[in-house]
Amino acid sequence: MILLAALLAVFPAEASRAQAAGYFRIGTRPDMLGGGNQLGYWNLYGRLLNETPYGALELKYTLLERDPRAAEPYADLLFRVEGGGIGSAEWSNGSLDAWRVSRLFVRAGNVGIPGVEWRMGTLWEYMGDLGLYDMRPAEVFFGTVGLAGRWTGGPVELYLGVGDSGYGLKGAQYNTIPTGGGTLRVSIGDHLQVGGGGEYRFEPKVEGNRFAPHDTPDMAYEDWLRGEVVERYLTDNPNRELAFPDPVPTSASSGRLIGYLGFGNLGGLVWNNTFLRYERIHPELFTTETYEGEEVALYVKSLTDERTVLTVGNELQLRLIPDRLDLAWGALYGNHSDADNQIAPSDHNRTYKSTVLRLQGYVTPAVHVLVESSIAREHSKNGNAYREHADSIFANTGGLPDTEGLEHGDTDTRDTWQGKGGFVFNPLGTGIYARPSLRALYGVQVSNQNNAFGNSFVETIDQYNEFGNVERHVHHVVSLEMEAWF
Amino acid sequence: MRVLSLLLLFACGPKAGAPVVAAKATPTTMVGVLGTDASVTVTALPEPVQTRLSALLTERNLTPVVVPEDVWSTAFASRRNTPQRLGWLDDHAEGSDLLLLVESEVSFYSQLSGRYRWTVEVTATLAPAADPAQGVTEVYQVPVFLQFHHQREAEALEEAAPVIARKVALLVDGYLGGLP
Repeated sequence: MILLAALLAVFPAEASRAQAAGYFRIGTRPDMLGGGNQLGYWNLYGRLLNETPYGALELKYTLLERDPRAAEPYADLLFRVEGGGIGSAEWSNGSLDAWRVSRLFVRAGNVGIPGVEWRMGTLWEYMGDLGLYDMRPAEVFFGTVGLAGRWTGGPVELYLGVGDSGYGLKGAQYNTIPTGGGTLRVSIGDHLQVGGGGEYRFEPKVEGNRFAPHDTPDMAYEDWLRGEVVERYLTDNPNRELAFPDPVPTSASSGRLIGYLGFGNLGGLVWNNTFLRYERIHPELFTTETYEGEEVALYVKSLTDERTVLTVGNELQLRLIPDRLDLAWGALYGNHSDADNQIAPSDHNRTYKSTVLRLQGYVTPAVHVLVESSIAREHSKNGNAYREHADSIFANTGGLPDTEGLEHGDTDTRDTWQGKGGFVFNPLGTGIYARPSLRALYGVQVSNQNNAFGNSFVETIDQYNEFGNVERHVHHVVSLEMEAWF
Repeated sequence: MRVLSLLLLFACGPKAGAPVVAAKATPTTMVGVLGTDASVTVTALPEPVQTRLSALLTERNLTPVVVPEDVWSTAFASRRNTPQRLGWLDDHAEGSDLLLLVESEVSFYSQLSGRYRWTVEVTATLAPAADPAQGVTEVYQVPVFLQFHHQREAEALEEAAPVIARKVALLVDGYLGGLP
């Protein structure tokens, strides 16, 4: 991106073919209670005050200009860098390690099939956004590189693609994962849209490739979870280290189905988006155990291939009093299931539900008052996962400490309430999502979990803890922040 | 409370840069064009944008004469550049002292940060009807972020309206301010 900017400075004639777009947010949230710069743990309580600094810069370069008078080929190239490294505003202090090239593709039309716009490169697309949560449940091809075509015919839009998600899903442990899928969206008049789609990923069995899916035979789930597979084996098979079972190659698959319903443009109802996603998560490759100084890889396809996630999200926007008061309401439900794991709490075995309500009143077109509230419940399906008390180990199931147990805390449910409010300065006028937005906000969170926010507290309750333990369920932050896009 | 008072004071304070007002009521023929890079068909700017532009002219003692879309759309579909369109407008601007031509081309950029990012490219020209070649032109791009898939070119223009109006106002003020 920097090189391109330099080239454009040297060859200004080329600048007319290049455009830049971007999104940036930065803020400071002095936290007198010892937290980081977030009110709570994550966006389930609404993105506001729970997000960290972020930026995205996308360049579009017109390779071949589109001519509206003729069906001649046209093409442009898009390239995006994004990340959270912003100097003086977050822990990495602006490190470029926190940035990555997230998108690169060429878009071309009037080539081959009339009416089809081709896309070669990264294929990620979404059917819309839950703005209050900054989440996009109905998305396809996140992490897929390949070829896609978009056909638009009147009210119908079809996006189909094929590619490889190997690097996107596995990074340096690459093995090819052919992926196919797409989306279909139909507009019915000006007030209704429906859509759906999905993708299927298949990772083939490849003998001899250590990054292809394998299973280490005869592993008990609990032993694996505790990191005691090798120890158990050697207990059962003394002095037979060399006979530890070899991994057996297999194949793996995963995928998702998505749905979308949108309606609005009816009086004060601006629009309502409903998204649905059902996903089978791609299995993990291997984990390692170290036993007597030797690292052993345990291949875990069969222990991680029954993880599913159901996500349903909704966002409604109302214009309550035109140019005076707007409302946005969101709701989110998630159900994560791991049929392989019936014994320990994890992120793969939980439910959560949340609702967020934001009101924005306009004192003038540029000066707004914002209030937002959210309430959320997260529930662990496999027992305690949260710590209500600093000394939670003494309040474990049955009131007894269980050092061999698999639970993490003293409760299986986390309840969180957040309230936020303050002033917003939007130079470009009214609108909950008008940007740039300069905000001075105060937020409060009440949670049954102890210190339910990012912090550096020492949690151990042993006698050598020099810092002591803190019991706190209310958290406040103030924030001066900016969000802009261009 | 003090903070609130200060903010309100700031919000309600006088606005800088009062409009330059023409010495006499000046009939101004105006056309606003919405075009895309995908089709030769051109249409009028959405009503809210048109209304904003008319209002800023009126504020400056210029009397807007808006040419209906059906009069110019066919001619402008074949005339793709500003001088040709301005020439056509001059031929159809009987009784006007000034011509205001606001051409826009709206194109989709990409999905970015959960939004649909569009680019509105605007060429605004203000010219004396007596000699259109003496006109002044401002070319600029307005980035627009739309929330929903069903929002297209017209909505992008409406979103860009505050910036377009501001730029046209500057163009008009600059022109009027330089008149003898």
